[in-house]
Amino acid sequence: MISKPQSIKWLIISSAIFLIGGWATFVIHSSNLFTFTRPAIMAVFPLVIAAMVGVAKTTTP
Amino acid sequence: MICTIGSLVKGTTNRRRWLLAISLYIAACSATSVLLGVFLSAGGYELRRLAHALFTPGLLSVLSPLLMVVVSVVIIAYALSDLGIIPLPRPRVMHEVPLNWWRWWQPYGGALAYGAALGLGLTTEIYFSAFYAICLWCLARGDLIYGAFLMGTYGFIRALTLVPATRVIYNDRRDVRWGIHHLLHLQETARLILVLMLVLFAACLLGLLLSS
Repeated sequence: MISKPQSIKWLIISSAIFLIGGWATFVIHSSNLFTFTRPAIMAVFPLVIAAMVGVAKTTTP
Repeated sequence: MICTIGSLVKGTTNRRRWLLAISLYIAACSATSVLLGVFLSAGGYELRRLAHALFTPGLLSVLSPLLMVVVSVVIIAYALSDLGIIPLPRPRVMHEVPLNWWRWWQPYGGALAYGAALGLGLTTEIYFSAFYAICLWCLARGDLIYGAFLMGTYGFIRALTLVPATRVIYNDRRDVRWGIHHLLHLQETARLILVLMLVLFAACLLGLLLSS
């Protein structure tokens, strides 16, 4: 019997594998995909993460 | 963190004082975050300059993608660490900011002191490894303006989220925990969202390398 936190953990791991695998598949089949999204990935994505960490800090005791 | 900054409302007796205290807190928090971003980016910039001086262009063209692979692997490793799968070090300067600061310098000096200390991000227990990921990204980019903007975003948003929280406590004059207890239950959800974001970011970086 898998507990609820354990199942959530494995759900996250599966999602991560899916994301990496999916992204790699996209890259193999469409080499131009990243040329278009490169600035967003390199500059904007980290900014979104930074903002989310800032918000998440509010939930710490 | 959020209980410590209850001092932002404890020492204030009217709305204007509360507004001034929270504004000072936001300014100090943003300023030290920007400084951290500049410091990390300057470190990355100097390392890059050193690499250009030491290595040949041919070797650099190999090392540059390798750096991105290392960054991606570290980000994924820290995401797994957040899930408790692998233990990784979480360096910090202090365990928590002292509670007595607000007694010494209340309310404005305390707001500045807490803002400056918390804006650095390394002065409390670090629950979300995404913080290390953005620090690492500042170092890897080595771009001072971008680094300042990235960490400034973190510091400003972090400080800004306290406005509604402290407003509730200021208006009701109740215990800090009462005002934010519902937020504390969201910590695990926030952690899971950030883990997914980190994995996606690392996957995108690896994808960029594969596509180039």
